[in-house]
Amino acid sequence: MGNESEIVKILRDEEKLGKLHSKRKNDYEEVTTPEMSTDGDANIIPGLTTKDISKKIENEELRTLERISRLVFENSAVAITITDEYERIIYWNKYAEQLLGMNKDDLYMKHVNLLYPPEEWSKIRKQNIRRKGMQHHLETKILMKNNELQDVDISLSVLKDQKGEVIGSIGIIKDITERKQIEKALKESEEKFKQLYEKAPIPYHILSPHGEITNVNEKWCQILRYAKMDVIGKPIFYFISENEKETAGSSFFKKILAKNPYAGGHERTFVTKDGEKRIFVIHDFFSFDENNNIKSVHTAMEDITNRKQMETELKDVDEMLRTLNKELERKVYERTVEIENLLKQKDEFISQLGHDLKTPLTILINILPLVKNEVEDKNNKEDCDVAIRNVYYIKNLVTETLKIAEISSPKVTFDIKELNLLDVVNNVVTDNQFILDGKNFKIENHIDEKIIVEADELRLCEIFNNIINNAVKYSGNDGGTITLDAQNEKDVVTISVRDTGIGITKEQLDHVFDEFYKADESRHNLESSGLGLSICRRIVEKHGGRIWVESPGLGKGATFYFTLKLGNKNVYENKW
Amino acid sequence: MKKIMMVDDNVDLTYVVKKSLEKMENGCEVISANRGQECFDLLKEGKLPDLILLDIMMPEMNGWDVFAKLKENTEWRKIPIVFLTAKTDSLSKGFGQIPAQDYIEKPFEIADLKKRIDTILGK
Repeated sequence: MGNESEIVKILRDEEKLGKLHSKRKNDYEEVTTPEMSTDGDANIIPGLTTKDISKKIENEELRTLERISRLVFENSAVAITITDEYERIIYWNKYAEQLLGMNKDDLYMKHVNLLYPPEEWSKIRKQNIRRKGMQHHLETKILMKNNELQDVDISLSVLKDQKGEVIGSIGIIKDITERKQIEKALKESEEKFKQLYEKAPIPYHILSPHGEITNVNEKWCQILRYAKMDVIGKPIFYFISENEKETAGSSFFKKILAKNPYAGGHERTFVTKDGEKRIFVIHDFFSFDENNNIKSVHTAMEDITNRKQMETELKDVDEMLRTLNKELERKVYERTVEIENLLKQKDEFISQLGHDLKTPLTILINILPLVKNEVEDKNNKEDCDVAIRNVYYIKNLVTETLKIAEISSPKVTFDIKELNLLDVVNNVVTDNQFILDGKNFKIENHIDEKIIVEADELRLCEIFNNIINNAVKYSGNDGGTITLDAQNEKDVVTISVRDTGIGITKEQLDHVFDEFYKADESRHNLESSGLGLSICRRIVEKHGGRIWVESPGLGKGATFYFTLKLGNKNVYENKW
Repeated sequence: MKKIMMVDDNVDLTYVVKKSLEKMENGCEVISANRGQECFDLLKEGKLPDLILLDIMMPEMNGWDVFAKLKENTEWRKIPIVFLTAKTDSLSKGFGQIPAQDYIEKPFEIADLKKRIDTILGK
């Protein structure tokens, strides 16, 4: 063992700690001045020289110290290794074996580099610790027996002899796995947060309390089209639209002073590098230091430009629709006026035509009977009758057409009065008595004498006249019965006129009130203009009532109904 | 025989009314005037009728003008007037308080006209 170092020799010759102790003792003797420390005690123990006594005391003290050191060394919760000048492991404590999972065979006289993975060892090497000769702390990894790596904190001290030559080193190795794990977790979470911030789908910036940008995320750069490096350190107001700069500045410092970020978001217009304006809803929150001063302002921004644009577009569309609608309304109004004018023209035309026909009709109606009287020939007299019948037909047509035009005219108002219904009906029946008797018709009148209706008397008579004449016209030659009745419910009176005539088919029911409707188109009936029931409908409707007809079918008669307003209600109700 | 003056621009109508009324039992004599002015010419000639049948729609001078002018004259204003009209709605406002005024709506039958005349003049 010719290459054994001095320290190894010492350790080999004696018990481990003893050797170390003597080495220590020698070192101690060299660095301290025992004479000075024991001077005052020279005569305490007789028979021993002061030097002897002090040596003895020193030895005892050193032994105690040694014991303590040994205990500390052995029981230390850190691993301790000692290497010689050739960097061979020559001593270690229990904990080192435990930490490394190695025993004496694995460690003794092995080069210390076996404890490190090559890359860590080369790092340590670069530090030149032995040459520098100082105590050194470093974090590194060691290689355990099971080839696993362990994070450790190593404190290295260089051992030197009296001449200052390096004779070895002491390494104190601390397991920092747990700390490293915490650090790693922290770093991971920091990284995650950074990623979240950096990759967030919304623009985000961090400002100093003075409004300078300290960081922005990718989305921010993407939307505002700036490179990160171009914006860091610039005031945020630089990026705000010209017309909002001032308010943005004052409101920013106001909230900084108040240490109170705005509760809800607020709108702010930013300008991109290309000069495009983008509108954001800004959400601020502050981060404080330990003295409760604002450390930074964090701002999440919601880009609402497109939404705003859509709103504007919607507004535009809405406006357009409104304009269109107005235009349409105007057109409809114009058309309506046009149609009303045309209808008026039509009415005026019919009216004019009707009136123009009246005078020639008067002439014909009166001259034909004269002619008939003057002709001798019987055949000629019959011809005159044909002419007279047809002239009367034209006369009826003209009169009734003019009546319809008159009823429909908005200018004509009805003279509405409270009328006793039974009186009106009796008058109509009396007026028609001659016709009814001639056709062998019987009237059954069940109308209550107390019923009062609100109606124009002449028009009401016209309704009854038309319906009764209609019943007579559309009956066989054997006569029949006309039954009149009226029922009142609330403030409406429903009047019914039932006949025993030829009846009405289902298809005809819907049309009998139409103008010029005749159940049988082929039947040439000179007595009917085809307007009677149409006149009735218009009169009833102008009274605010309703008219309809029911019939069980052909040959089974028909019942006409119409409604009128009940008049003199109070009197009527009191009577009941 | 009662004397009736008929003022109407329609010569056919005046013809048939004249012929019918004159031929009727208990009939009347009819003088016809085809214009408003002719009516006054006849009146000035001293042909004063017992009743005037007056058409409203006439050229130059309409029925209302004739009516107004008749009422201006103390002698003529006493003559009862029956309007002949195709339109009834404009008549009601024309009458006022002057007595024995009536109208008959076209198309009318001579029998009806005769009844009106008889009512006014008395049989």
